[in-house]
Amino acid sequence: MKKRMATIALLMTAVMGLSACGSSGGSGSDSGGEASGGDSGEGIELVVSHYYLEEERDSNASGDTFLTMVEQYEEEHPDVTVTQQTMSQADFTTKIQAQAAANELPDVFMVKGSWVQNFVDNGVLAPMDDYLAEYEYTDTFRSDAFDASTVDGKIYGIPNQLSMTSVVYYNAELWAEAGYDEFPTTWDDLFAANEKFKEMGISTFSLGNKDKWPAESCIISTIGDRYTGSDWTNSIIANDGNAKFTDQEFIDALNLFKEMSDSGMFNADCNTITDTQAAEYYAQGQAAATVSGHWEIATLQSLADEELLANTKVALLPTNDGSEPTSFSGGCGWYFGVNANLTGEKLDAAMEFVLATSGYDASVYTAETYGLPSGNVVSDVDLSGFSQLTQDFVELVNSVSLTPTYDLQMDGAVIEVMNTGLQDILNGTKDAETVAAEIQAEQDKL
Amino acid sequence: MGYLKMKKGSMLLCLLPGIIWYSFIILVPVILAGYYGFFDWSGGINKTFIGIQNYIDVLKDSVFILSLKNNLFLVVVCLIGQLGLAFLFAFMLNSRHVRLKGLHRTMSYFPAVLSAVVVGFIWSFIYDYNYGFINAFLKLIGQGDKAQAWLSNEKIVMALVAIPLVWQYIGYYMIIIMSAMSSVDPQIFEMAEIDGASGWKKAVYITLPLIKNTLIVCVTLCIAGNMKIFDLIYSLTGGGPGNSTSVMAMYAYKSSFLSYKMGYGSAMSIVILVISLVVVGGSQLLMRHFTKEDEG
Repeated sequence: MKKRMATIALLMTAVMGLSACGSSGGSGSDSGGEASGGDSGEGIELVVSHYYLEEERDSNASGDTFLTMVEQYEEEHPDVTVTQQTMSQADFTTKIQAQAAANELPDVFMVKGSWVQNFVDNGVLAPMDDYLAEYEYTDTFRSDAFDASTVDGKIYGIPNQLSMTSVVYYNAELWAEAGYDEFPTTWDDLFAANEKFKEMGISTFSLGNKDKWPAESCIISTIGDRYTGSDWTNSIIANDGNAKFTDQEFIDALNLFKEMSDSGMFNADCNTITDTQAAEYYAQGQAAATVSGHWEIATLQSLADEELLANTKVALLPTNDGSEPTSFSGGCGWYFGVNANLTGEKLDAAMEFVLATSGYDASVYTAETYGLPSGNVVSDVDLSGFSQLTQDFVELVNSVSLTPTYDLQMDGAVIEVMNTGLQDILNGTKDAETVAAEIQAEQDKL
Repeated sequence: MGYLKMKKGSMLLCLLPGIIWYSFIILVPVILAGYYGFFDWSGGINKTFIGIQNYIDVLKDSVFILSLKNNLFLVVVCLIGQLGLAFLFAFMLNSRHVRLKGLHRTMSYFPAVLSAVVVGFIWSFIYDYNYGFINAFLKLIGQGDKAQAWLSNEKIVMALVAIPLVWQYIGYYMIIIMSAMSSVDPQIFEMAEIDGASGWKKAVYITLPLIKNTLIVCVTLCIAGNMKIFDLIYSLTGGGPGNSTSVMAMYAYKSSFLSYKMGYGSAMSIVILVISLVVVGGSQLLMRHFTKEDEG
């Protein structure tokens, strides 16, 4: 009998262990995260939460910019104590959601464009219009800077980075070997080149889609826009019911992606490696090109040797009719927002902090230190001191316009279904129509 | 009698710290999850009460059903793989022909102390397409055309995920079973040997019935562990390709924190709890039923 009791007790503990996964909302958070009202007195304490780790500072332009700006702010404002809560991006994403659920958000925190609507609906973000009206450099923000942080005409976040998610980095030497002077401007040429690279035993593009976002963020966002146009995308983002994922244009885009995959354009293990591993394949000459974002420059500079870097050129994915591409996916995706619970002096300080660390000054620092564009337009930047790759990149970006990146702006649940469906397409297990119908079914639930 | 008897009040007082700790770590979150499950809630202050709609949706959700099937698959594979092999190894190590028993014991327990993320990392190298051990081996023996991106093959990926899981926990159950075996009186074996019982017969007719209660505990632990499995699969495949290696806990996590359906995710975790209780309870009833027949 005693043994049976012990068995039952063990059973209970073992099963109860399951509930650890069930406590999505109930778990407590550390005390530092709680925002308090504006109490004046002996200085102000601001709790700031972000995902810029000190140890990644060297390889992360926007991270270094933010951390530098915070140091500057602290020097200029000795009366304000800034407490930073830093963690990896994945951990940050989880933690901030849990804090929002418990209404225990820090004073200042990063928000992704696709979360803004939800956060505003829940009343946790403070509007910034009054503070922007008084800000010296409001005119310098890009015209599309606040697209993803505006709800009902009010602005809830200041962008601190410009994501450019869909640039082709290609190894000019390998393409010359295959008989191409530059990256093809038509899909037919691209598919023909693919056959040559297969003969050479390398893949045309290296893709690392284990984490599911690269195929969608870097490839589908641009191909999709080529087929559907940005009005369609904006209609999906606004969920006004006009555009549907089951529209033929979007299915055509998925079919093109399926064709790319079926013809062996990507490395065979694209679903099991990460974005960084894909960059390694490219850096080792196992792929002729890779499609990735602005972060790829820093990644390649740390992975590839001088020769390969010198051979690396930038281009855009072809258009459907073979004309010169005029756009690719990108935009401001991450913002710094302020807790709606703040009042008085503390609210003023938080707003000032955000504008000081993510506004014009930050853009100037990014441009001068890294050559990269960000949320504000900075003119007269001397690029001559930067690598040829960076110069080419900036030149390319400045010559075209940006179209919405899906995962920065569409609803998170829809993106999750899309990302999973794209993995199925890459794996050859689902066709375009099925995936489109699944994505639309999720969109219908909104 | 009675010298250890306590007053009811003081007994409760002694239990209080444990009860409080237990309540806040386990009971309160479970009850809260059940409560949140009744709301359309995306995280934040606003919640809309929608009755049991979330619970109905969970049971109709094809991805959830697939995840449940994957969990049950892992339970079956691990019951056979982990417990079966653990029993076999424990029995072999108990035999007096084996040398260096301590070393064997330590080495086989070693994977159990590794973090699941580390195990996932090690095995993703083994399965790797370019540098992986399996593909390198296939090329070495001239079967290079059979090399593939293993974790992309959705037909066998669940089995591939189960292998590291079995590998990691054999040692864990082996230690438990070995300790149970060592409590069996060696005289019984000596008598059986005099009667001419072979090694195999000793295992099945003597050891197995005598460590039955420990095995029941192991089965329970194994089932509960596999119903809540998350970390290893997350680091190995992330549920992919598509949803083919998705398990319930991972889907609940993704619904809550990637799709921002907190209410739905909460409802799902309650459904997982109920299903797990049913599976564990069912297995207990089954085992009790069969062991009783043996005695009768």
